[in-house]
Amino acid sequence: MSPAHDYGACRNARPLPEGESTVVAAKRVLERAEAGGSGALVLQRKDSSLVGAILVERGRVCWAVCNDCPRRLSDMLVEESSSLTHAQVSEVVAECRRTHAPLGETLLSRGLVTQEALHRALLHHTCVSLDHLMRAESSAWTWAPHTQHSYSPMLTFSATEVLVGMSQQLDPERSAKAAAVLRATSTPKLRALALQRAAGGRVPIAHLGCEQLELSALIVISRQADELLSVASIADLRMAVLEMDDLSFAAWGQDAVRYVLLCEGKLAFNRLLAHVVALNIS
Amino acid sequence: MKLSDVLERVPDSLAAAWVDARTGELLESRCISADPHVSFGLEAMASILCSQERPHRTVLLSATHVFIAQRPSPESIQVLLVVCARAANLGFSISAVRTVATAVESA
Repeated sequence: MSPAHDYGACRNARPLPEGESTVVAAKRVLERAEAGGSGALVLQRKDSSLVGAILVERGRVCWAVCNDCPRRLSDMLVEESSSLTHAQVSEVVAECRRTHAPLGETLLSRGLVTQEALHRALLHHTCVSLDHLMRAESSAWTWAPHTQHSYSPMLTFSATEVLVGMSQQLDPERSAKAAAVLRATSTPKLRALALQRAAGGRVPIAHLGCEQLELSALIVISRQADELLSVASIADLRMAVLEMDDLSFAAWGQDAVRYVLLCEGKLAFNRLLAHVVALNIS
Repeated sequence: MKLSDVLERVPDSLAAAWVDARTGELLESRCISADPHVSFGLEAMASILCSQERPHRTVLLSATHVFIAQRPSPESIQVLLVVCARAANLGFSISAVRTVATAVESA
């Protein structure tokens, strides 16, 4: 996703509660989706007109749309793929409308975009739409379950990816700094996560390899890291390492950010402990 | 097993306690260090053990100490808490706490 970001003006925007970021609001809304379920989170105004929706399949976000958002997916696709033109996108969109085929898969099958470019554009569009949805003047969210599955899992996103994407767009410098810390402290065998304190809870601002991390796991990790490090000042603590059923993680705090390294599998706790002791974080 | 035996068996140990993981209450404790960080840390760690996720093992590292919480079994209500001086054989201390906690459970 490109770090420079243009949200465009949001029509009918309302101010968020003081200090609350759209990422915290999005996290709360995504919690309303049935865990691992499929359906749509729908946002309507008081007059029942549609503001937008978030489509979810098997607990993963497929895409979000906000009628108030001036940024279009086709623009983002063209930005992400140098060889793609607006005319080509329009032609494929028209065909998909006729055949009810998914747009992303059709673009891929025709070789018009690479999977990486499509992934970036979809995530970018979803994050921008979510930001607008969280600011939109509206009535209430409702969850409408369905049983159809038509999206390739390769083109869907975990809540962690979406929330990190939103954080990156809101404050690219902060996210880049956190990502640099993760790269410096992690290894290819570990997954890593940076969580920033925000009004209403912690939100992920950077990750390495956490594309599959579900919202429920993210919440548990965030809560555990906060609990463990809450006593840090009393005992002059630097680092916490914890072993749960099938997951071990290490956590430490730095500049109001919690950094977390995750490890799974046999001897995960021992491997992680050896790694963090060698890091010698102060 | 008495806490004095736990302190004998775990290398570099300075304090040990049994904690009720439902409430975070220290049920029994023994400390052989005058360092206030050890006793404060013991109580602080006890207070955070009553989390929803019931971790099997938790290790907190400071520059000078390591705080080890070991649940003898996933169903255990009591958690063994040991504070050790942070030394080169950190892994040995952690392993010893696990062995002691498991022995208590099976006794």
